[in-house]
Amino acid sequence: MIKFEQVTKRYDTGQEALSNVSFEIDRGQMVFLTGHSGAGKSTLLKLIMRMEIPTSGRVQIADQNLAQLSKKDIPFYRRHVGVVFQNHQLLFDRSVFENVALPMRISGHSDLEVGKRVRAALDKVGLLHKEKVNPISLSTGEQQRIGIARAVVNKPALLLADEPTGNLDPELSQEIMSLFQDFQQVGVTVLIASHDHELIQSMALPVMTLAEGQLVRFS
Amino acid sequence: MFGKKDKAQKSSAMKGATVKGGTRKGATRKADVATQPIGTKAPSASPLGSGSKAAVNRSKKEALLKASQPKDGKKPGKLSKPSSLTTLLRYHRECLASSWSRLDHARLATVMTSALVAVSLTLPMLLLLIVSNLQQLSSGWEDQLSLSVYLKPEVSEVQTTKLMTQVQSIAAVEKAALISPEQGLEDFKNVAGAELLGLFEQNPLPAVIEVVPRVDTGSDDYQFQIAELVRALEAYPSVDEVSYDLQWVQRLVNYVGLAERFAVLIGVLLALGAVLAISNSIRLEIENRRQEIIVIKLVGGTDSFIRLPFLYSGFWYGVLGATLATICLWLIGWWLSPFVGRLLTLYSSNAEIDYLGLFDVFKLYFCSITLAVVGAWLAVYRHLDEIEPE
Repeated sequence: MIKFEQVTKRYDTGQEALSNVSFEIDRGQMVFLTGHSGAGKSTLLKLIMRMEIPTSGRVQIADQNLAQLSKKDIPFYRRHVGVVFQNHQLLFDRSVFENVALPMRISGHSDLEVGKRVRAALDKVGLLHKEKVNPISLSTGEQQRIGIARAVVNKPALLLADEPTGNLDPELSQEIMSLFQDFQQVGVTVLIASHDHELIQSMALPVMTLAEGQLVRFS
Repeated sequence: MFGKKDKAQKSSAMKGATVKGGTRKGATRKADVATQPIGTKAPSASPLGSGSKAAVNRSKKEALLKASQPKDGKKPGKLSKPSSLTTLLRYHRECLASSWSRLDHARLATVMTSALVAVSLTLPMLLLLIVSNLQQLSSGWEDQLSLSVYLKPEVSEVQTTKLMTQVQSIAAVEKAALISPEQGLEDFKNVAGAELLGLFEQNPLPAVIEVVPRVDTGSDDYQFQIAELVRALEAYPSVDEVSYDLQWVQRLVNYVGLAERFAVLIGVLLALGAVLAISNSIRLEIENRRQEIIVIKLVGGTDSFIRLPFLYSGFWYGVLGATLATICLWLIGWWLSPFVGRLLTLYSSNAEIDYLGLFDVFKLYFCSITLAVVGAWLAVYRHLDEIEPE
C-alpha cells in the first residue's frame, strides 16, 4: 500500500529531512511511526499526502507513483487518504456536522448520503449527539475525535495520523488508538506518527523508528 | 458550503424528518455509545456500519485507488469524482447563497466596494447617454442636409439647364432641384410679404439649385465627401457660391464624437479602478478564510471548488454595483429632465429623449458583473496558489 524506495528529501534550506528511506507497508496494516521531533516524521507524512515530492527516490501509494500525479490530480488522490492532524484543523465557523461533512461535500455527494455517512462517522467516534454544536465548545479530546470522524467519513483506503494523542491523557489516547484499530480491522491501512512510547509499547504493533532522517528500525 | 452553518442544520433537521427512523436509529446508537465505551466494541462491529458492508466498501475503495493508476488509460482519479451536473449545479447554488450571506454579514465593506463599482459605472454611462442623445438629435438634422448652389445672375436659362444636368450626373448628388428666380421670388413673397419686393426694380434673386448630397451620414469621412462636393460645385463657372448652412451641425457632431471617446476613456480608467478595488476586497476575503482553504486543500478540494465562492462574491459585487448605478442614473435623469425638456421646446424639437432604456440597464449589469468577476479572478489566481498547507 505504502512503498518508499530510497527516498531522500532535501529542503531548499539544505536540510536533509529524509535520507535514503525504503520500506513497505501492506494493505490493512497498522504501523507506528516514531522518532524524536525533527527526525523526519512530518516529512514522511507530507510525502504520502503529496504535500511534498521527494528529492530522489519513489513514493508509491497503491502502486501509484506520487511524483507522477499532476497538480490537477492531487485533490482526487487526497480524497483516498484520511488525515488526522495534530492540531485537528477544525473550522470554528460551522457545526461539528459540517466539519465532518466537508470532505463529502467536496467530492459532491448527495445530501442524503452526506447525512448518513457523517452520522455514521460521528456515531463511531461517539459524538453523534454533538453534531449541531460548534467544535470550539468541545474539549480537546472531543475535537480530536471530530478530526478522526472527518478523516474517515470518505472511507479512505489509507489513514494517516500525526500525533493524534498529542495533548490527550492516557485513557483518551487509548480510546483513540482502539478507534484506529477498528478501522484497521476493516482493511484500512493506518500509519500513526507518535512519540508516545508507553502507548506504542502497549499496542504491540509494527513500529518504524526514524532518527535524523534515517529509518533505523522497522519491527 | 462556506459558513452555512444554519443551513446545514436546517438540512440535517430536514433529513431527520424525511428519512423516517433515521433519528430513532441515531438515538439507539447514542445509547450504544453511552453504555459501551469506545474501543470496547466487539471486533465484528466495524467502524462504518456492518462488517460485510465495510468489506464491500473496502473492495470499492480498492477499485477506486486502482482506478487512479495511469495504466487504466483513464485520467487518474476521475472515476472517483461522483460530481454530475446536478451536484455541480447544487454547488453553484450553494456558493451563490453562501457568498451573498457573507457579503450581507460584512455589510459596510460590501456597500463601500459596491458603491465604488457604481461610481465607476455611473460617470461614463451618464456621458455615453448624453452623447448618444446628442448624436440622435444631430443625425436628425443631418438627414435634412442640403446644399444651396447660387448661380451668377448673368447665367442664361440654357446654361442653367445645362448645369442642372451636369450637377445631376455627379455621383455624390442624390437629388438636385432648380429654384428659378421667379419661384424664389414667390417663396420669398410668401414668407416676407410683397411690400419689401416693391423696393426692387427687378427680381434680385438668383437661380438656386438645391442639392441633396448622396452621403452616408453615419460614415466617418462624410464631411470630407461633402467638402469635396462643395469644391466640385464651386468649380463650375456659372456658380457664384455654395452655401452649406448646416456646418455647425458638423461641428457639433465632431464635439459629440470627441465626448464619446472621452467617455470611453474615463470608463476604461474607472473600470480598471473598479476591477482593482474588487480584487482587493476578494483578496481580503481569501486572507480571512485562509484556514478554511488550507483544510479544503488537505481533504482533497479541487481548485475550482475553492475558487467558486470567491467568484460568486465578485458576481454579487457586480450585481450590487449595477443596481446602485441604475438608481443613481435614474435619479440624475429625473433631476435633469425638466431642463432638457425646456431646452427641447426652445429649439422646437420634438425629438424623444432616450435615457436609460431597458437595454442600457442590461448593458450596465453586463459590464458591472463582467468587471467584478474579472476582479475576483485576478485575486483568486494571484492568491489561492500562495495558500498551501504547511
